[in-house]
Amino acid sequence: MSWYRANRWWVLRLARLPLDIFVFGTIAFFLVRLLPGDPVSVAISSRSGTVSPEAIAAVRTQMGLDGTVWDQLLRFWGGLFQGDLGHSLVTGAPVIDEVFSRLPSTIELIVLGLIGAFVLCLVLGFLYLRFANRALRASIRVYSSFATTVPVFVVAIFLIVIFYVILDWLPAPLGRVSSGTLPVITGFPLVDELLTGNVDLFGETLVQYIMPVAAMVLTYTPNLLTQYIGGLDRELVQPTTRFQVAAGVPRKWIFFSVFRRSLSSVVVVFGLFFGSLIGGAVTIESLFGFGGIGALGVRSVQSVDFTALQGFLVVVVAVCLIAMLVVDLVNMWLDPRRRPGIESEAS
Amino acid sequence: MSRLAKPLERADEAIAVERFAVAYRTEFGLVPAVSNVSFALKRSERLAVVGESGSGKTTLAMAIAGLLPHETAQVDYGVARVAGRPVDMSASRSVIPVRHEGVSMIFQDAMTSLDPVATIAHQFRSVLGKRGVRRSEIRAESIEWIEKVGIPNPERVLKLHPYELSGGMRQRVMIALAMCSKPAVLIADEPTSALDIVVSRRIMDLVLSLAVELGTAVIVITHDIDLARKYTDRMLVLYNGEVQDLCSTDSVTSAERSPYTRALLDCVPRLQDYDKEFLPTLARSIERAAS
Repeated sequence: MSWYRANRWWVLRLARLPLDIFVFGTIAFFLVRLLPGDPVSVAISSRSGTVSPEAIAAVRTQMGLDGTVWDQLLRFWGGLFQGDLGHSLVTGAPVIDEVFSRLPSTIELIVLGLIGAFVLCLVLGFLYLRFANRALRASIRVYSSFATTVPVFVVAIFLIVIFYVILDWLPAPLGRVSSGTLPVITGFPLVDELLTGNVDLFGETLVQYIMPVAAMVLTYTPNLLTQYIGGLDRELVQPTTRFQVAAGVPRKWIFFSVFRRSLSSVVVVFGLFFGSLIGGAVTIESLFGFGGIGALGVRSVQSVDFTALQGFLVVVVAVCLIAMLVVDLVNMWLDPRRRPGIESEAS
Repeated sequence: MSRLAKPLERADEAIAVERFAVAYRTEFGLVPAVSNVSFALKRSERLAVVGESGSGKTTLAMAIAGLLPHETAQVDYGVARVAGRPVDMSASRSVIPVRHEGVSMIFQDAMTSLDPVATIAHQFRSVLGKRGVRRSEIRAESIEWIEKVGIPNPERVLKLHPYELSGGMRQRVMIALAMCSKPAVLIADEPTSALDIVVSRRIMDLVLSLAVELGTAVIVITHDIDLARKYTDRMLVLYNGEVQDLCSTDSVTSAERSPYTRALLDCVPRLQDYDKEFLPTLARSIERAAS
């Protein structure tokens, strides 16, 4: 019982996760049906000649769009509980397969880009504290002020123009491999290439990743860095840091302590970007000819593919919710005052 | 008004500064905050630095402890020695200031001074941990220190975070952390202003008994003239960054003291004055002089 009391917070949070997904899925179900256009007429418009009402009804039934909206909602719920998101209205493939064949490659790209940005942010934060050089500190601060001002695709286009068009140091942005198909085991391209022993393909994909990952690192580092530098500036003048110096704590410990105390808002911003990029990475993916989950969303809006779109939304929300859960757990580890059930005086 | 430090036996000397001056860098150039301060303290000797707000007490303390960054302040001095050894007391050029070896400092607010996210054990380890010292030894020493500052149940306290302790316990933990490196000098900046009168007297007794045990000289920065007279051997009166008097605490009331010192002492309210309509104030306090 005491275990439950101590761990209640995250147990309940885990238990609530499916509920949140269910509620959001229901909202997505209705929102998707507000899209202008009827998928049945889209499907039929490609046929030549007149189409009988019976044929239209048959197509409607086949697509699962017969009956009232409430009938459809019940079928959607039923599928949701079994982990079945229905079949795409356009390709006829199960939506869950469509989603999970694309999700890992997007996650791979986001993880590389954001982890790169996080590492660069830590390095610049370290330089910011370690060296009193005015010019260095001012330029780090200027770089951090670029936060949210330049979109990632602008940086990516600049990189393509410079390193492919002008210098020709990097290959054309035309997909993860120049020819052939990617092996599929886990769905994560780099992992699969290693697992199947295709070292050549692995190297090729790595080279293709240089520009998109660099664009993401350059674009997202300032967002993390403003939070980090703000935290460092704040913690540096805190009595805590002064007392650590005055009590004779070795400098290595003081650095670590200041870093740790400044990190929580960086972790939050990291989580927010991770969530928004699940769908939002589509701009950079399409620029470099990569497939990804975002492309599925765009395609299903264009083709009024209700089931694919609502499946896409449910999965994106699930990933975001899990990311925010991880953010909270990391922050609780960084700062024990955030742990549930702790009443702290003004900190 | 400078009074040069009297020559002392070096072995007995905890700290000596001569012609010590601090100026802040502002957009209008250097603004002096403390000028021409000289004093020397023997081991276990206690000095009170008193004065109004803005007199430069805390600036002096921070500069001696090494907490003023070069970016904001400039420190000049003729002589600076701690425990008989010369120390470079010019303002630190690194972003995180560098401590002057042998000088510890405690602050008014223990809640914000202790690391809020680390356990008490971790904070002791950060001070006591050195290369080649085993974890169990550090733990034993931490427990010893927690007992020494009068906190019961030290094993339990080690596992706690600062927010899980009471205000008095936090103050005691801070004192233990500041003293466990056995400094030659302990600077206490308003150590008891946040505490009630009963706890504050107990905390002062604790600090001074530890200082006697370790041979640490104590510099108390305070507004509380009664506390200064009760607990210190000597008193340094600052006005506008300049020394008005440096004398033994017993002789602070004698007639040969500077007019400012006498005026400041007159401002201490006494119980028998309760029916007076106006209590004495300073004719020209720093705040009024500045405006």
